[in-house]
Amino acid sequence: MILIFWYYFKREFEISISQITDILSQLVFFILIMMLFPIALGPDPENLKEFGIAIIWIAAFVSLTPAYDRLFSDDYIHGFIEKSAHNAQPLGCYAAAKCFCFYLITALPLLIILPFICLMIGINISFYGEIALSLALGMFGMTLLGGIASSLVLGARRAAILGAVLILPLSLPILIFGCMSGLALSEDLSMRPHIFMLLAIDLCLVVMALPAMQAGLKNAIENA
Amino acid sequence: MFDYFANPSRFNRAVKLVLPWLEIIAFGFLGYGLYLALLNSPADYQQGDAVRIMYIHVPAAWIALSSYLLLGICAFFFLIWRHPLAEIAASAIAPIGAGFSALTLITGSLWGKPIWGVWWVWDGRLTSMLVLFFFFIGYLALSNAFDQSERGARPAAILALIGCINLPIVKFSVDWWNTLHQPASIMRSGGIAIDSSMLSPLFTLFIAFQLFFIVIVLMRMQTVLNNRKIESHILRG
Amino acid sequence: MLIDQPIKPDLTLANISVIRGQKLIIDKVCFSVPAGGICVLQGPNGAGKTSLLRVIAGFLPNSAGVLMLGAHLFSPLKSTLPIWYIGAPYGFHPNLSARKNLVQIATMRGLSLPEEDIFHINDFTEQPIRTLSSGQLQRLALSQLCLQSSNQSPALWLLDEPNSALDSSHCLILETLIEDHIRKGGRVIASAHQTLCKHLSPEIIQLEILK
Repeated sequence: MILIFWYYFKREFEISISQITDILSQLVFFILIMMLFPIALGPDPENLKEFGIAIIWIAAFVSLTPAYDRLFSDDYIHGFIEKSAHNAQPLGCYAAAKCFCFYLITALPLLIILPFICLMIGINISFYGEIALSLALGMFGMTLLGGIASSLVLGARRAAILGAVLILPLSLPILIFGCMSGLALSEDLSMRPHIFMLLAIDLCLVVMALPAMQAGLKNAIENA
Repeated sequence: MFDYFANPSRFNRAVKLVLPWLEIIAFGFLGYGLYLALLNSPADYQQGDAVRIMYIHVPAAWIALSSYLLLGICAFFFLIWRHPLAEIAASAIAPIGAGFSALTLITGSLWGKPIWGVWWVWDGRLTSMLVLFFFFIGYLALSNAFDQSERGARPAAILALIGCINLPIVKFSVDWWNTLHQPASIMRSGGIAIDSSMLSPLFTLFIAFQLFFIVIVLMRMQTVLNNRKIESHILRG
Repeated sequence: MLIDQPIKPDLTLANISVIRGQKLIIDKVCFSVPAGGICVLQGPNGAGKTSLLRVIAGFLPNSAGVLMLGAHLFSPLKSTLPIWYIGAPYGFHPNLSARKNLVQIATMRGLSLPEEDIFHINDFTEQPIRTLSSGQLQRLALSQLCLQSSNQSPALWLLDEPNSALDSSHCLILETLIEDHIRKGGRVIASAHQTLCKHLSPEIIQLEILK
C-alpha cells in the first residue's frame, strides 16, 4: 500500500514538474491578491501590520480555491482514474497521493516566499516559523477539503466556481484558527491552542476526506 | 416502516391519505399561533412591538437547523442503503431548508434594525446561520450542476453528510471567533429570559412551522415521484 | 477428494441489464467466456458495446443481473483476476512521454516491460502523448497487454474497438497476440466493427439499439 502510494506520488510529481509554469502562476496569483490589499486599504504601515496575517491567509485561500478543481479533473478526462481502479488498490490511496503532492507543490513555494511577504506587509520576521507552521497546517486541511470538493464536482458544469462554493463555507474553522494564531502572536500570547486546533481539524479532515474522495471518484467513474 | 415505504407508489398512497389532514392542522396552528403572536401577547417593555418578529424568527431558525440535520440523515440512508425515498426526501428538504434559513436571516435583520440600530451584526449566531445558508446553497448548486439530472444526487449526498459532521465544528469555531474578537457592546450576553405569556405563541408557531415544513416536503416528494412516473411513461412511449 | 470448483472457471454474464438516465441500454444479456475463450461484441453505434464492457470492468454498475466467475459472484474491482480494460480515453497523461506512462502502469501493477517491441512503439517512445496520432496511441495502449508478469494468472482482456485505428499489419499483430493469450488460458472480450480474430471462431454477441 505504501509502495503504491509512493508510485502514485512519483507519477504526480513528474507531471507537476512537466507543468512547472502552473506552479509559478499559482504563486504569482497569490502575490497579486496580496498586493490588492495595500492598494485597497491604503499604504498605512500600521494598518497593514494589524491586518497582515489575515491578508496572508485570505490571499492563500482565494488563490488556492480555484486551483483545487484541477486536482482530479485532468486524470478524470484522460481516463486515468478508472484505469487505476484496476490496480487492485483502493482509490483512496490514489486520492491521498494526489492530494499530498498537490499540497507540497502549492504549500512549499508559498512558505519559501513567505519571509518576503512578511517584510512587505511589515510583519515581524522573527515570527516566520510560527506563521509558516500555522499556514502549513491550514493549507493541509484546505487541500483535503479541496480534494473532497474536486472529487464531487467531476463532470459538473462550471466546476471551478462550484468547487469554491463548496469549499469556502467548510473552510471557515481553518481560517478562524489560522488567523487567531496570528492574533495571539501579535498580542504576545501562546499560539499553541490554535495550532492544536488546526491539527485537530486536519486529523478530522483526513478521516473524513479519504472515504469521501473514494466515494466521489467511484461515483464519477460510474457516470463517465 | 423503513422497508414498507421503499415502494414509491405505496408511499404516494399514504401521503395522499395524510396530506389533507396535515394541511388543515398546519394552517390551524399557523392561524392560531399568528393570532396569539400578533394580537394576544404583550409587547416587550424594551423592544415594543418589534419583539413580535421573534415569533417568526426563532421557529424559522429551529426549522433551518433541524432540516439540515434531516438532510444529513436522508443522505446517510441514501448512501448506505440506497433507499430510493431518502434521495427524493433530501432533494425535497434542501430548498425548503435554504428558504427557512434565508427567512431567519431576513427577519433577524429586520429585528436588528429597531433594536440594535443596524441591519447586520457579525454576531456568532448570525454568522453561523449565514454559513448554514451557504451549506444549503452548496448542496443545491451541486445537485443541480450536472447535465444528467439524477447524476448529482450522490455527490450532493456525500456533501450533505460532510456538512453535517462539520456543522458543529463550524458553529464552535465561529462562537470562539466571536468571543475572542471583542463582542459588540449592543449585544447582550447571557440567555434571554422569556416571559411565559410569550412562550405559548412561540411554541404554537413552532409546531405550526414544523407541520408546514412536513407538508411542503411531502408535497415536493409527491411531485418528484409523479414527475418520474410521467418521464418513464414518456420513455416507454 | 471432491473439487467443487473448476480450476479455470467460466466468466458468466447472467441477464445483465443496464439503465442509464432512465433509459434501458442493455437488456438481459447472457453469455459466458471460458478460460481460453474469446467473445466479440457486435452491433451498431449506441447498441451498448462500450457500456457492457464497462460493466464487466466494474466501472458501470449493472441495474439487474449478475456477473459470475465459476460459482462465485464476480466483483471486478475486488477480484484477484487481473483485468485490462483497453478503451479510449486510455489513461495516459498528455504531457509525459509514452515510455514514462508505460513504465508507471507497469510499476503500479508489479509488471516488467517486455524485451520485444511488439507494437513498434520504440519509434515514438520518448515523445509526449499529446503529439501521438490515434493509431500510435492505440498501439501504445495495446502494448500494456504485453507487459510481463512473473506469477499472475492469465488476465481478462476487455478491448473496446482495439483495432479501430490500426493499420493492417498491426491488426495482424493484435490477432496473434490475442491468439497467444487465449492459448495461455486468458479470457478476451472485445467489441469490434470490423471482423476480429475470425480464424479463432469467437463467440459473437449481437447487440441491438433498444427502442
